[in-house]
Amino acid sequence: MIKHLRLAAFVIAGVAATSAAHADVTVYSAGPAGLINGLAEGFKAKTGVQVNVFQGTTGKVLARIEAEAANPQVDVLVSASWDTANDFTQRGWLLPYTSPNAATVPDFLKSETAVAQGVSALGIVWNPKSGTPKPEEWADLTKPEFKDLVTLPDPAQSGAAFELVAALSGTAGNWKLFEDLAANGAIVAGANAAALNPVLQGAKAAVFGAVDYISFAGKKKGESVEVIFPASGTVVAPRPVMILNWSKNQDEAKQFVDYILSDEGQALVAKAFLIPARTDIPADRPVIKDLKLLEIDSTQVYANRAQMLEEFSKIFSKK
Amino acid sequence: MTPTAAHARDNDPASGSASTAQPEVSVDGVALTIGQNTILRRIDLALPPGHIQALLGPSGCGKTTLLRIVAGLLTPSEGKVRIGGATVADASSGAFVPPERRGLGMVFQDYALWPHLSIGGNVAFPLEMRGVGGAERKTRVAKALALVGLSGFEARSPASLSGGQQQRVAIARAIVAEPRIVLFDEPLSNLDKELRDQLSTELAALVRDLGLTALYVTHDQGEAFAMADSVAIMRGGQIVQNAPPEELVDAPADPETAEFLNLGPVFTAVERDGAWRLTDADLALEPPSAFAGQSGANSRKARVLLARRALSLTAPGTGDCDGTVNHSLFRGDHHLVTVALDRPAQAAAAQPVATHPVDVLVVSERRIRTGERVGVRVLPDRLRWFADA
Amino acid sequence: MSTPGTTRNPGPVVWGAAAALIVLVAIPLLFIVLQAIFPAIGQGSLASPFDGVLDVLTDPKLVGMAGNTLVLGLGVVVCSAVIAVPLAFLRALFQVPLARLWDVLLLIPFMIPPYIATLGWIMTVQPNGYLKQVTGLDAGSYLFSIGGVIFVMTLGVFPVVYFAVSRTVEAIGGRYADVGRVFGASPFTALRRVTLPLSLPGLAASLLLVFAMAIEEYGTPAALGRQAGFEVLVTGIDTRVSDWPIDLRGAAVLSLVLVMMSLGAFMIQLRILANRSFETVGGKPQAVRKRPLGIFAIPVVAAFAIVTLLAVGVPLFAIFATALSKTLSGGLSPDNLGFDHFRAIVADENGAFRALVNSLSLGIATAVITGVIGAATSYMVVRTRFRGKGFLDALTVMPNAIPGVVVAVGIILAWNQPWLPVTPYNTPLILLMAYCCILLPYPVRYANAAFRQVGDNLEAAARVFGASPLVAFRRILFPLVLPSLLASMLLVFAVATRELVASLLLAPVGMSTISTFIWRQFDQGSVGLGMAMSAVTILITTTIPLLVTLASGRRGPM
Repeated sequence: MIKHLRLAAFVIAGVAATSAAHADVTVYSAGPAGLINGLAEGFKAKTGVQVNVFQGTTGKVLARIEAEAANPQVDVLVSASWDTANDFTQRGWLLPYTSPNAATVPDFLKSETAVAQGVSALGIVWNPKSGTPKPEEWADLTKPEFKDLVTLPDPAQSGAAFELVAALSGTAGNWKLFEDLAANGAIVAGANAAALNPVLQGAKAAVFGAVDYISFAGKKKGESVEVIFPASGTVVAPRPVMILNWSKNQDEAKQFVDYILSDEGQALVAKAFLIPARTDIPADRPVIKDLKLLEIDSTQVYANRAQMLEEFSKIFSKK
Repeated sequence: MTPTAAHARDNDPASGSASTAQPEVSVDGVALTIGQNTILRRIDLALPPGHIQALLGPSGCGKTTLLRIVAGLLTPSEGKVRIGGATVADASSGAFVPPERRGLGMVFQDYALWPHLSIGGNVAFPLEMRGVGGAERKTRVAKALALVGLSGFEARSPASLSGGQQQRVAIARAIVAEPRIVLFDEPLSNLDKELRDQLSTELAALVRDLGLTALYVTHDQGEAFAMADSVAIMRGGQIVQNAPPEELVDAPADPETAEFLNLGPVFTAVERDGAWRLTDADLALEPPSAFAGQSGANSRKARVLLARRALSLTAPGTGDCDGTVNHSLFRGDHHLVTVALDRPAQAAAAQPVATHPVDVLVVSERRIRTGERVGVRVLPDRLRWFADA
Repeated sequence: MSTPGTTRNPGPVVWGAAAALIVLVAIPLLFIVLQAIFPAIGQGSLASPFDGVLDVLTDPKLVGMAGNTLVLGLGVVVCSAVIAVPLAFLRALFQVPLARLWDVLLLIPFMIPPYIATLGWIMTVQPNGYLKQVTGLDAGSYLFSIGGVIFVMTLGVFPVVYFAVSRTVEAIGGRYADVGRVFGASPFTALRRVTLPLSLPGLAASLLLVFAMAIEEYGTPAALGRQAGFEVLVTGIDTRVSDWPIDLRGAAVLSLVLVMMSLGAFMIQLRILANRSFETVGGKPQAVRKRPLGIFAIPVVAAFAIVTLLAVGVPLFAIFATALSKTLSGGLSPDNLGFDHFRAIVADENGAFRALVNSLSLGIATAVITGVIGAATSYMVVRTRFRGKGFLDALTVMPNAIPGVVVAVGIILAWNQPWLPVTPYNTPLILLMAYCCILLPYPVRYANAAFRQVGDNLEAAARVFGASPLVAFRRILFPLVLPSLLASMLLVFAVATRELVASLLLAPVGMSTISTFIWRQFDQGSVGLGMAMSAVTILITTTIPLLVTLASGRRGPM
């Protein structure tokens, strides 16, 4: 027993020692862990400023910020949904800042208080080994060849998926496409990874509206998978970077935002198969100008969010 | 080593006379009430050094509770307990010495051997707690095990022993630290009779050889009589009589005690015209002086114990009363004969049904057949009379 | 006889346990309650109390979610009992061939994180899954149903019942059943009337634990139930915590509903055990003799083998197959197999190695701390009487009912207050506290059952022979409950090493654990790397208990 206690003391001491190193900038980030870790390392190498990262889904990151509200810890936040930027701006939690490196970021990817780190787009992710014809359009997945072979990410769990549903159903509430999908045996599979997994294994043939960068990365590793962006249009999910106005390290926070938007930072973004926010950075994948974007009225769409999710889940729980 | 109550007493010069000696254990007015339940009421006991005191009673009489109060496993709600002159529990002042500082030995009914320790580990525990060093511990454990006839059993596990052997280990554990006082909580009741008789003899010898003061709880009177200098009969949370075994047999305090001790049947006697007779048998009795000399008061009642030792058999018509033999039991060196005494003539006529048969037990040298007529002779000075309440 | 007028006053053991319970459990719980009452507690404000509580409680979905939770909990309890109780009795009373092997194998489900096991099952039985690839059978999509959720969860938790019951019955040792048979009971009647009732404390405690685990578990219902429209309270809570706008108070209110359910189960357990004495380790130690199985050896071994195959074989196969597949879409063809993912872990890609070390250290520390606190708490609950012990006992069961994510929120609310001069928040210590809070019920339940079975006189004897309360605890009671306690500590170690839900929210900046690492790999589509990490973890967390068991086995069973 004494030995155990000694071990515990050792562990606690070790644990305390790790925590003693103080963070200079604290970043909460959704999205690829590799990317944010790379950015943190690169930034430290360049400036000597330590970046401490908490990484999770957008939901977990926001829940942590909410719970910490009495004594906020975060300096810089990277969300996977632009909606976060709108909401935090409304709450007055953000520090207005325009990075000098943001000059070539298109206007729709920046505001006074937020700027995109990178952008992901939604597409059809299709397994060529599935024995199905290559789909070109969203509606192709309602065809009999895809009977029981389609998954959808849950719009309640993925902001981008929600925007796609909103864009495709339109403000008039035209749910025909989704009713057809449901009638064709498509299932709502949870978050993005849960929708993709059965397609990779061959249980399903295609994901309707998958976040693209994960599949690009998978393809690079040799997975049998293709990403198709329908010509009729799709939606993109810009990933906003924000500085919280309670930050006590605002200068370092600004430097970090500058670094994300620097040539080096944007190259790391491109390497994670995201579309770089800056249009002058090359990427090994279709970028925004290659895509047709569907318009949505985000104010109105987000006002009706609960209602639309309700409608959506009703359609898919009918069968 | 912490100064314990048991050792504080070492300062007293040993005194030869029991009356002047400091009692080793004394219990003064101890009572225990829990909620509405009175478990013990006003118990007084004093044990001189080397005294073996038995607590005898049916289950539920409070004897184990009293023992646990002396051990410190329970606290009394009234009264005082002293060990070796030092107060270890006092309900009025709230003083309480925990069991581990009372310096006692104890043997439990269920042995309470620790299953995860070896025999040696079990026996060494009290020494360890007293800070006795390893080498000395080893020799003392060996000595204690030798005393109970289990030499060389140190390394074995308690589970590998028979019940009798386990209880020997428990006894070794109780005496190994040479406490002045050992408490026994029905130590032999889990064993079969043969083993019980053997162990109780051994135990009595061991306790006397070691000069221990002992408090011995049991519900077996044979055990109590074999072991104890005095036996306290407990009933309903009280001590009804505390006396040496011989005195208990000679003069039980009340009919219930007499019956509990299985001394013989108790019958009702009634006084008519200055003479005492049993109500249900044709037997005239000579009362002791306390009951005589107050004649005139007709129909006075009393109860009388017809103890075995007060009766003997004789030929029909030659004794104090005749009767018919119900059955006879050979007890190895004597026959125990049950005799139904004849009913009084007038009572049989008046109340043919209501009379109870009076069956007495008589020791006989010879075998007597069932149904045989015999005479019974009574030794008046061996009768025990109880005034009827 | 021994309880009236008892002298067992609360000693240092009790005070220590009470203090630890308050810091680890009561404080976070208090903040959850505060959060349920005061919506703006997170901002440090007590404004508008009870505002909108009614909206949460009158939500028509709540009834459905609560009902589903109950169905799930009871379903898993019943199925676990059906599988585990017969196996446990066979193991305890008969000479089951390969008994030690089954024990070791049935420990493995504890080591497999539920979300991984679920994923393993999905990948095995979904169309074109491993089952189809290996045997050509197609299991269809029955997994995505209430039945599927109960099935997968039962396979993960029934060993809790198996080990608790087999240990208890072993302690009873068939001895009392023999007595029953002497008095004319058939073997079956003896089992039903004697052995079964005597094993009740172990059975009730473990079933309560299973119920609490089932209603608290997130991964399986989320992965399997949602597609079937099967929403339980935990998934509802998770939606409120991760769906913007974050609704912490809604989550807190729903959590309290969940806690009520668990407390209900706890009360039922107390009633079952009320007024019964279950001392089976009396002062008369007896050697245990097990009976031979005879011709039943073969069917019994077959039963053990089938259960083990389902609970251990299938998930492990899926995990290793995926970990060894270069790509998921490549399937189980020889040219697609390789050790690439394991190499990536050794090369510390994405901090895999660091995460392993972090989690293993935390696991060991959690096991030791909860073991010590658990033993002390349980001693306090079973062996002493003082005011407020019922409350403290209830405290030890509540964390089991609170979803990890809500415990995490409570801990943040409690320990991130600006006025605290020092705080463990944002240090690895906070994860340790969270794990201790979540896992404390395991050692407490196990030790409770063990303490109940130790005869009163064993402690009394130690006291009379000179041991202070603390020494009597350390030398007599603690060693007697140690086998049970050790088993629960190994369980804690395994679960703490892979705890996901609280870790996701609480991990201090810059620190990752095994589970957050795995989860990140899944989230980013690197299923193979995630499964490789799972495989390594399962190997490690199985090996350590195995070594401990072997080491303690050499010392004899007790």
